Amino acid sequence: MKNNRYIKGFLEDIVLSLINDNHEMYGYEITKKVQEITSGAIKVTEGALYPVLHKLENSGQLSVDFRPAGGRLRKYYTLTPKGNLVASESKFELESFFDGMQVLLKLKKSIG
Amino acid sequence: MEQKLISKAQVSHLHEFARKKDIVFVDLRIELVDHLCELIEERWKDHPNESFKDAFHAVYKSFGIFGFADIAAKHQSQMSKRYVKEIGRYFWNWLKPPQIFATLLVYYLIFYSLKTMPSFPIYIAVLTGITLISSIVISILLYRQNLKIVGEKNVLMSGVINGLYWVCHFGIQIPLLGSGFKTEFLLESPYLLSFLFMFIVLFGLANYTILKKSAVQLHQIKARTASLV
Repeated sequence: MKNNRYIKGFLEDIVLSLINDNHEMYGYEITKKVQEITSGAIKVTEGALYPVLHKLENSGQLSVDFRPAGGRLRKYYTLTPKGNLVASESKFELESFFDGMQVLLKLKKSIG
Repeated sequence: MEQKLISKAQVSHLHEFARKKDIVFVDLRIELVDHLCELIEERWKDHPNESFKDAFHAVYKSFGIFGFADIAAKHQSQMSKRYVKEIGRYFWNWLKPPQIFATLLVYYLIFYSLKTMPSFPIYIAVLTGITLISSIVISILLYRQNLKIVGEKNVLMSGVINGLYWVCHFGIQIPLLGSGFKTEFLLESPYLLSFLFMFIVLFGLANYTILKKSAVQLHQIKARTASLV
């Protein structure tokens, strides 16, 4: 899907926003949720997701907990206070960015 | 029809597979194995008669042509960054009035009391050497202790050995390079040695904290794994 080339730049924000809304999540759940919400228009690959999750964990924006699930251990991610702050800031920044993009694209369209 | 689920033997098989793919850190492997299990169980909903082996090969493709290798490589590069960040965070947290005051007090008590002695630089050189060796020995002992918890290492502890290597390497090389490889230079520069001493003490404490933090995670993994049996 062509949309996926845009995802890389927003993946950190997507992950923070989803975990913020769902309180805690694990890797597979995030990939499923993105597909569900976007009706399959956006697909987050494992190769892109896990480095982002680990980066956010390393920077202290996510904390982790290992708990049993389905006969195996599962790594759950939750937002730290720092992650909460970044999530709300990035939501605000993204909203104004997309507003700007919409104006820009409409403008381009009208010029074209 | 009842949902087909992954068995414990199959989970072990996936762990073994991931290990062979160089996923050596237990925390990362738990995460990737769980992801594979979820993908296989999801696939079995549509293909209930498919064998574990076939389902596994089908879902592993979703990790791309490099499979786990890509994630492992990115993880490896983040691992050292994480260690440096943890050390940096420790030093940064130290820069608070009570800790600075305590450090200066210790510094004063040790160095200014020794200063009156004629062989003051030698005392500091010996003290620095002993501190460095003790710091390395304690870190290695704790590292080995951590390894015994689940028989494997996690991401956090793995940076410690690299960190020790670099500090030993640069801690010895930089003063020697600066002095043009004349050891007398160090003995004539007790303040440089004093600074090195304080750095080694803080570095040792930072490593101790990281290894203790890593042990907490490994104990959690051990306890939660035991609850699965």
